[in-house]
Amino acid sequence: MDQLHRDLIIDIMSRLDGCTVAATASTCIDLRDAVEDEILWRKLCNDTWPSTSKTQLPFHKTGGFKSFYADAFPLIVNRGVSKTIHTSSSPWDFISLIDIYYKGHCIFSKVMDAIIEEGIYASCRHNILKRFFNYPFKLNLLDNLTNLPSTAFSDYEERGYKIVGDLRLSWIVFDRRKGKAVNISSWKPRTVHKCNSSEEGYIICFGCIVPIEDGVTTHRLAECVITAKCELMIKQGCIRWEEITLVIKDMDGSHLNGEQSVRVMKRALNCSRSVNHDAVELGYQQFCKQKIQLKLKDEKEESLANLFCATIAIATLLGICYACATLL
Amino acid sequence: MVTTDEKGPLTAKKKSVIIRSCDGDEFLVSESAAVLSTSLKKILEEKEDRLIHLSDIDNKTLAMVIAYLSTHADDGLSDDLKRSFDQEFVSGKEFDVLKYLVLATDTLQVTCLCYTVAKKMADIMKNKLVEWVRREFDIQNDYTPEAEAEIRRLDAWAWDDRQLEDD
Repeated sequence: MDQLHRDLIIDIMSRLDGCTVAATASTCIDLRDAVEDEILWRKLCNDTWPSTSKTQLPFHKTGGFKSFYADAFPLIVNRGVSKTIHTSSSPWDFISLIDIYYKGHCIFSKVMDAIIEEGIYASCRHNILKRFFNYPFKLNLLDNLTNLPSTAFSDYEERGYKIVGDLRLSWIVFDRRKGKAVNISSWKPRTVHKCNSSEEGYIICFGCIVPIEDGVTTHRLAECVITAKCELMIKQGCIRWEEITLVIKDMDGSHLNGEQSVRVMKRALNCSRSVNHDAVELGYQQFCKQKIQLKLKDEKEESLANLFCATIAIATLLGICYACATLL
Repeated sequence: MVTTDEKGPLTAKKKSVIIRSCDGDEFLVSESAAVLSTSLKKILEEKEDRLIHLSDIDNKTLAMVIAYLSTHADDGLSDDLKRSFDQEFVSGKEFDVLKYLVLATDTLQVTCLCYTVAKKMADIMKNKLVEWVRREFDIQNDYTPEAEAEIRRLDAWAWDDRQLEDD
């Protein structure tokens, strides 16, 4: 510490990732004080998620950029159930900050002030809310204004699948009432499919698994699914985003409605998280297994029910036949 | 001893400056290269003397900084070439060497080199153990074991399941 003065060390620190900075803070008291600096954490947040510089986040007294980073950097891990909180929330409580990266460079960022699209009928908020709560939840990120191609790659030799596989997505949900944040993306794509309609069109899915315990749905896990539809313009080195949507699904694949989705999001804000992406991936694989088992179980139950129905039908028919025969 | 910079003998037309390191060695640098350092530029503006004595930069470090300045002052080189020179410049250098370099560039106010070196140092520091950081920066641990455990508990998210290296 004698050789390098504090400003220089902070300068070096500001080029690190937040994880290393937070861990380095425990080297000595002086450095700890130095890295508590809000400007340093603001820079780290803005560098990691350029969308954070596009909006003024309504931080509470307790949390600033450091706690935002600590909330939003680790990913949700499917590990046990978090504690229950009973407060009402509205879709206007949640701000979404979305960033998409290609090979470490941010190629798209957007902020959405609510998880509801108000449209032109903003005057009758009550009706909008009623509609939102009862219908399946779907948040569309793109409107015609933002549907511009983003320059991404310059390596024309790369194959389409490779390019799409190298995309990373971060979707931070910030609760303006609680001042807390969570990242509901998987960072890496979960699945990549080729789109049938065009040659270089792809459908990429990101997301997370949220453990839930109370009676939101019949199952104990819900899945946030972020679907990005894009077209690669290989010659121009651009990606044209056609659709980026968020839906929340029950374990059986059915879409949750707005009310349930808000509750899942609130739950996500209190989930346990990890910076270890392998642990996150493992949790997802377990979820997939459970999903398949559930499906098999449902199918089995369905076939049993079918068998039962068929038996009753045959029995009734035989009964009718017998009755007719005796009458005649 | 007078060492010319890497571009070979200077033409008489070009003004040059002599920079002396703390070890007493002298380096001949063209003025166009020297003024890339904000501190040197200020000194040159203030006094006529063409000899600048730097009391806190050693030979080895000064030679590296001058090599950098001369390359960047060369108008014949394209920006791309300069960028790749920058990458080459910091690659493979030990952390200790970079530490002296960053200190020298800070003193001389060579912003772009300071940026490159700090970035390289940050890259090396990533995923390193706290013990490694203490050793490399000569930091004395002034926490009590309880206080250190408390700090680690508060920032548990940053420690969770991470593979850290010690070399």
